[in-house]
Amino acid sequence: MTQEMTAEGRAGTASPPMPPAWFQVAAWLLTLGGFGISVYLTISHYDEGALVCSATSTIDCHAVTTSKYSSLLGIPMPLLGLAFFVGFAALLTPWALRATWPPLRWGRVAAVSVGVLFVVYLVTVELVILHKICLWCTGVHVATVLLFLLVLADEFRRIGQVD
Amino acid sequence: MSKAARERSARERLAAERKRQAARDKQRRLLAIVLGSVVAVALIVVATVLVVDQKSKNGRAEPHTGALAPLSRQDDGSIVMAKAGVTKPELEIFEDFQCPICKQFEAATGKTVEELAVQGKVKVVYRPFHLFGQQKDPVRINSLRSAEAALCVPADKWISYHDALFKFQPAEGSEGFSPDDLVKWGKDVGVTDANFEKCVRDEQKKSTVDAMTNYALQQRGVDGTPTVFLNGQKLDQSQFMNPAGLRAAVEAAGASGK
Repeated sequence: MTQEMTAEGRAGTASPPMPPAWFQVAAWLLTLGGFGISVYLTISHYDEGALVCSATSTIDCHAVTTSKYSSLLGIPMPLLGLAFFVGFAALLTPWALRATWPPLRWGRVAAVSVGVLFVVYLVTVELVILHKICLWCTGVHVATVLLFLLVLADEFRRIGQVD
Repeated sequence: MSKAARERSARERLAAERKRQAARDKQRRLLAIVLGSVVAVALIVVATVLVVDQKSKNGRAEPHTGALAPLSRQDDGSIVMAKAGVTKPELEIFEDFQCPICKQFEAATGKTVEELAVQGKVKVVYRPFHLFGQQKDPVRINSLRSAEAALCVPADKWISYHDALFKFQPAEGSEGFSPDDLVKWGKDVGVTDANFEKCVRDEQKKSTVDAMTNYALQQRGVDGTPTVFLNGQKLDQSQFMNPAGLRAAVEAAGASGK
């Protein structure tokens, strides 16, 4: 039987098995890495002196993090990144991974999809408008894209499972 | 194995194969829906960023509307905005058109400065200069070209052109203030002087900008922008970025007769 996320599928069934260890380890490492960089970028958003980054003609964190694109609707981008990683960490707890409630699973897919769209937006701004790359921001972008691929791979695996 | 058992086994294998096929179909659907949606929205996001960026570069500058105190240009290139006979208090504004904080200053307090001048409460002296001379391009060249172009504009069009330069200020580190745009914005705000375009393209005001920059940095000790002096005294950022604070400072200086 396929483990499709349907109401009838969860009715009266036991908790689904945890995702494989490689998924959990990789997802937690990426989430913690992204969280750490987001904390650093949030601090440096309010204290520009705290930002350490080389400045060349193409790599310049300061030019990116102080540009008008460094906030959205008045909310600093690093703060949005921080909220993303905290929320995603909650969706990665053993309780959430074992839960049969469909919104938790789809929440993981939706969260990383929105995250990837933010990455697309920010990288477009960096390359097309600012012509500068922020290395710290790139770290967060890489973590987000890898999380997207991980979650997609896990969903692919779950849906393809046949008893 | 009996025939019935073989048939049952075949049916089970068939059923299992159908289930595997259904699972594979669901996997394909998952990839198509998630990847398709993300790629589609990503394309929309990229297109929107490009269109908005292009619009902001190609936008039209608007002539200033509303009352303004008379404007005149001094020999050193600075612009005076004051009602006839108003000489004190004197508010000097040192700005660089590539400076983001100057843009914020104009957005926050620009209108108040204009109102105070219209009301005859202050004599305003705009002193544009080239702060970013030691920076790398494109910041350096954006700063220089915009200051030069601003000096090519007749005094009566100063406020309109000055506002346009801040409106179209390129993001720091980004190309902008191209000679074509600088000329176009001048025409948008009503500059009809035949020499204006040549003045911008040939950078005819470079020596004046250099002198104004030297004056700001060496003689007046300006080390950042915006810098605002009221009767020669440097104002604190908390005063000049706040319309009420600036108005209070100007009115207090006026009342004290300084």
